[in-house]
Amino acid sequence: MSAGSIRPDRSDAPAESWREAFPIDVAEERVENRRQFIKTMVAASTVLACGQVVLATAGQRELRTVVLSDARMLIDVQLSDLKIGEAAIFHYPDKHSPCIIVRLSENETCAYSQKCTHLACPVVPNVAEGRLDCPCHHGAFDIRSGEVLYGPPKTALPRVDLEISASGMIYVVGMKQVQS
Amino acid sequence: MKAQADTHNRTQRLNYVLAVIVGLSAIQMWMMTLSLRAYMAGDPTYLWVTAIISMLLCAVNILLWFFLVH
Repeated sequence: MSAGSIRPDRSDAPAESWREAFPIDVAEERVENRRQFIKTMVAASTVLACGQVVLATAGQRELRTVVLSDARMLIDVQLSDLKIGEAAIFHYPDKHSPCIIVRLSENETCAYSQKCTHLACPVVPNVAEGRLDCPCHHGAFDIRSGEVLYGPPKTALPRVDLEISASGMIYVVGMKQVQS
Repeated sequence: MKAQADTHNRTQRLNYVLAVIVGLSAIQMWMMTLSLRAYMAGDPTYLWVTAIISMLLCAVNILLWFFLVH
């Protein structure tokens, strides 16, 4: 134990058997209580620090997400029009904003703004490679998340939220973008 | 007599350490409220700053506990 330790040195104490059952002297009891309390405080402090790291991590992503539109709209593409691996174009939230919808699997469909975040060239799907490619400057986005994979774009593609009815009608319910 | 004085001294030193740790933990609580307020207000600027300060305070607490109390 270091010289600065507060723990008592009991090396000179007689080695009696009752000591094992009652290791703390009456005079030491308050010290032990404080020591226990300090341990609890340090544990609480650690929990607080971890909590703040979790909050910062969660906040960093969530608070960077910007809602570009929350208008609900029925698009003129139906789920039955799209085979697996196929894509279609629609416009949202206005007729000057092309978006691309891709059917990735039986139950997985995603949609993004078709304008590349670099210089607004239209991105094209490359489902086999899991990418949306921008042919103008060779940028690419992940087809499942919209995040930049490589190339000049710095920001993820705006993601379009979809709602698909039981009959296969596709509703667009919003568009969000995660700021870099 | 010597044992009593020794216990008294140790209790005093423990009290100082306890006061410091409680003080640092109180600052951490304050940091947490600042973080929550920033989160609710949608302002991510200070989230990492307060988290890093909180981690540093926690490290000081752990070091104090480890070297002086443990």
